Amino acid sequence: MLEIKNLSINYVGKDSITKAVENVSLNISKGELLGIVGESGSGKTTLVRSIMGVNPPSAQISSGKIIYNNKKILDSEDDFITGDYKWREIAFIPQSAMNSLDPVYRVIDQMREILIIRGNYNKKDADKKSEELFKLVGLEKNRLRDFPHQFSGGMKQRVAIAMALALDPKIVIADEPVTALDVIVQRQILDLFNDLRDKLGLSIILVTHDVSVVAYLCQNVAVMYAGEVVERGAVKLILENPFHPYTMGLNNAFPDLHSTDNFLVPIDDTITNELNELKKEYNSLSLNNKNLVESEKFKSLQSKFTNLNTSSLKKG
Amino acid sequence: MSTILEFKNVSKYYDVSRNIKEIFSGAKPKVRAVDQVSFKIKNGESVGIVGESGCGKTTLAKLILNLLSPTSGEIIFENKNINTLKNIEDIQEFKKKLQFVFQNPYDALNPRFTIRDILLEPLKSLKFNPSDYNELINGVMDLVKLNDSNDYLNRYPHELSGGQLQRIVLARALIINPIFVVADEPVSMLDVSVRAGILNAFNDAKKTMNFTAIYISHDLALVKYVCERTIVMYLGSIVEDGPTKDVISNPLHPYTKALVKAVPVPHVNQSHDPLPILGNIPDATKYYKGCKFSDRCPNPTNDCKQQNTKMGLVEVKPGHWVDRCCANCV
Amino acid sequence: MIAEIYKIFKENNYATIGVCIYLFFILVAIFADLIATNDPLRINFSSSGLARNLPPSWEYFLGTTSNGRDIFSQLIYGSRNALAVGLSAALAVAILGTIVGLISGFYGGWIDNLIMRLADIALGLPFLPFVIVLAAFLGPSSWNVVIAIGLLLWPNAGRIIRSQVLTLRERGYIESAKVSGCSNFRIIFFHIAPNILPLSFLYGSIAIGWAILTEASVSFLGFGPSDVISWGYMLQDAYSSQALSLGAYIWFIPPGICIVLMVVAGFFISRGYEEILFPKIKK
Repeated sequence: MLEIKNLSINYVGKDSITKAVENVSLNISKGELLGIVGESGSGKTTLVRSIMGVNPPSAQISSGKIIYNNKKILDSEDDFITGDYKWREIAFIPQSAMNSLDPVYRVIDQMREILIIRGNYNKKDADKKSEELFKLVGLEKNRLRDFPHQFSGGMKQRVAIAMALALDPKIVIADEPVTALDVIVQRQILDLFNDLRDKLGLSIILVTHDVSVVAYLCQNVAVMYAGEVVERGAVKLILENPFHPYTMGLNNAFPDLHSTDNFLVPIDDTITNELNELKKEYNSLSLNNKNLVESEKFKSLQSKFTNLNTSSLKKG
Repeated sequence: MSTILEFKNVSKYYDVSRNIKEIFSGAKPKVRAVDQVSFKIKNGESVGIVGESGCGKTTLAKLILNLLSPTSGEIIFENKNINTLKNIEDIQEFKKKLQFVFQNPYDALNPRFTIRDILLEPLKSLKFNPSDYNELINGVMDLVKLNDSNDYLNRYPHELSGGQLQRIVLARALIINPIFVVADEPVSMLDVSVRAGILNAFNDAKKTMNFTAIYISHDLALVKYVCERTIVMYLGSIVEDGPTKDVISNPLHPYTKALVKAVPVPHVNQSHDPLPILGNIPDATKYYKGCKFSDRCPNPTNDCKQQNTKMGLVEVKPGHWVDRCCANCV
Repeated sequence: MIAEIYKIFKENNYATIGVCIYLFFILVAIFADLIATNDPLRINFSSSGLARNLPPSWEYFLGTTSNGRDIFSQLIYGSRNALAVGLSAALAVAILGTIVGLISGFYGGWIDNLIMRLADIALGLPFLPFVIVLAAFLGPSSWNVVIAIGLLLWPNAGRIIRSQVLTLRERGYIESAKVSGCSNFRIIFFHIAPNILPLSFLYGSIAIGWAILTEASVSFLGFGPSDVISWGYMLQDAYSSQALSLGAYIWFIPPGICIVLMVVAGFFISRGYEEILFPKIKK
C-alpha cells in the first residue's frame, strides 16, 4: 500500500547539513501494524513527517520517493506532489497530540473543523459522525461538548485518535502516542489501536522509543539508528534473534519485569565505531537474497556481531 | 539494621478553589496528596515507590526533603522530627545527609554555571573545607564515570547530552556524601539507550557509598532493577509494601495486580487480556468513606464501600504488607 | 559571558549599530574639550557686533544662536549632559528595578504585595508634572530628571523581572540549591540574578533613551537648568528665539537628530539582547 523507497532527508542549516534520514526503504500493507523503534535523533519523526509532508522548510529531500497505492506522493525531484491524501487516506497523530488540542474550543467544534472543511460534511452529518467516532474510541458522546482541559491525559489521547479517524483513513501514523501516559492508560490505548485495526482494517504505523510497546502491539518492526533502518522484519524474529548490535542493545537496555537476569547493558558510543566497519560489510550483501541466510559469509558476520555484543556485555 | 526514616500518619492536604455550588453547600474540597501514610525505612535499604500520576509520590519526596511541611503527622529522620528543627546547625546537619536526584536533567542545573561551579555549590553552602574541594570533585566524577579525557568541568550544561547531565545531577547529589538519597524518576526523560548507563551508575554508587535510597517511578520494571523493596501508592495512600520480587511475582492488592499486568515487556508472547481494573483514575478531590480502590476493584464486597475502615496496612506475609481492606480478599 | 556577547554583536547588525552610536557619542563627550571650537556658553562677537544667527562658517561650523553662541560647540558639550543624565537614569532604573524585582518575586507574600502596591503608586504618578514639581522644590537641575526617572520608572523593569523570577524560582536547580542548604541570599544573588541580568541591561538601555528624551522635554518646557547646555536646552532656546520662522534649521535639527540617534541606539541594542535573554538550553 505505502512504499518508501531509498528516502534520504537532510536538514539544511546556516552552514551545515545534517543527515536526518539516510536511504530508508519501508513498506506497509493493508491491516499491518508496523512499529518504528529508535531513540530521539534517530530520524523516525522526520521520516513519518515526510510521509505527511509536514516537515519544516529546512528539511530537504535529497533522494528517494514515497508511493501510495501506486501514486507518487513525494519525490526528491518534485518535492511534494499532492496533499489530497492527507487526513483522508493517511492520518497523523503527532507527538503529544493531546497537548495540542485547542484549549478555547469545545471538542465538538474541533471535530467539526476537520469534518466540514476537509471532509465536506454538513454540520448535522458532522456531529453524527463525531458521535460515532467517539463511540469507536470508547468515549461517551455527551463529552463532545466539553473543553479539552476537562479530559484526562488518556482521554485526550483518545480524542486525538478520534480526530485522526475522522475521514476514514486507511493508514494511521502515531508518533509516540503513549509515551506521556501512565502504564495502565497506556495499555488501554494500545488495546484500542488493536481494536481499531480489527474493526476498520486500518494499517497503523507506531513510532516509539519503547521496544516493549512494539512487542505488545506490532507484527513488524523497523529499527532505526542514526537515520538508517538497521534492522527490519517480524517482531518475533527481531526480538528473539536480533542481528544488529543496536537492536540487541535495545533489548538488553529494557529491564524485563519478569526475567531473572539482573543486568542492563548500556549502548556504548565506542561500540558503534566497530559497528560501522561491520555494517559496511553487511550492506555489501544483498538483503533480498533468501539463500543468503544460509551462506557462510552471513554466518561469519552474524557471529562477529554476537561477539561484539558479548564483549559490550562484559564491559557493562 | 536501624530505622533511619519513619513516617507516622503523615498527611498533606491542599485546599482547592471552590465553585459556586460548593461554596453554598459549605463543602471544602481538598486534594489529599498524601493521606495518612506510615512506613519505616531501614538504613541501607533501597526502596522503590511506584504509582501513577496523581498518586502523591512526588509530594512524598518533597515531604521527606522538607521542601514541604505536612498538614498532620510526623516525619522522623534519625530519631528527630524534621519539622521541629529550628536550630540552623541542626537544619544544616539534616541537609548534609539527605539529597535529591531530579527528573529533568535539563532543568536541574543552572544554565549559567559551569559544571565545576555546579558541583561546588553544595560544598560551599554546607561549608565544607575548601582544601577538600578538588578531591571531592574528582572523586565524584570518577564515581559517575565522567572522568575520561573530555574536560567536563569547564563546560556549560547546554553542551552536554541528557545522559551526561543526569550523571552530573547524580554527582552533585553524592558529592557531600549523603546517607539518604531520593531519586524522582531519574531516567524517565532520557533516551532508552542511555537509561541503562544511569541506572548502573546509580547502583554502583550505592554499592560504594552505602546510602539508603528511595527511588520513585511509575515504571515497575526499572524499580525492579534497582530496589529490593517496593511500596505501591494509589491516590495518596500506600496499598502494598513488600520485597520487590514478591510484589511483582505475587501481587496481593488488585491495583498492583493491574499495574503488573499492564507493564509491556520486550517479548512477543505477552498476554493481551483486559486489565483487572475498571474505569479511570478518579477526580483528585473525591472523598471515600471506605476503601479508596472500591470503585475500580473487579471484585468489591459490600464492606469495601461502607466500612469506615481505619487506614493502615496489614502484614499478610512476613515483610509483605497490604491495605487493610483488600487484605480480606487475599 | 563576554565571549557570548561579542559573538552576538558580530552576528546581529542592529546591536552593532547601536553600540557604535553609543561609542561615538561617548568619545565625543570624553573629547569634547578637544573637538569643540568654542566655549558653548560664551557670547561671541564679530566685527559687526553680536555674532547672532550667523550661518555656518569655518569659524562657527553650525552657525550661531540668537545670543551669539556657537551651535556646534553646544552640540558637542550637550552630549556630556545627555550621557550623564541618560546613563545615571538608566543605572538607577536598572539597579532599583532589579533588586526590587528579585526580592518581590522570590519572597512573595506580603513583601510582594507591598512592593507591587508601591509600584502601582509610582506608575500612577504623571511623569512630567512630577519633574516640574521637583524642579519647583529642588530648583531646576539635570538631576531632577534622574531622580524622577529612578523613582517613577523602576516598576517597568521591576515587574518584568519579578515575573521572570517567579518562573525561575520553580526551576529544578533552585530547589536543589535549597535542598543543599543554600541560604536565600545566595540563591537570589548567585543563582537567580545571573539569569536576570540580561533583562536588567535591556531595561537599562531603553531607559537611557527615555531619560535623554525626558530631559530634553523638561528643558524644552523651560524647567531645566539654564547654565548647563543640553540638547533639550538647545531646542528650547531655538523655539523661544523663533528659529523656525527665521529659517535657522541648522540650529534645531542637529540636536533633534542627536536625541533621536541616542534613543534609537538604545532600542537597537535591545534587539541584540534576545539571544542573551533566551540561551538555548540544548544545542
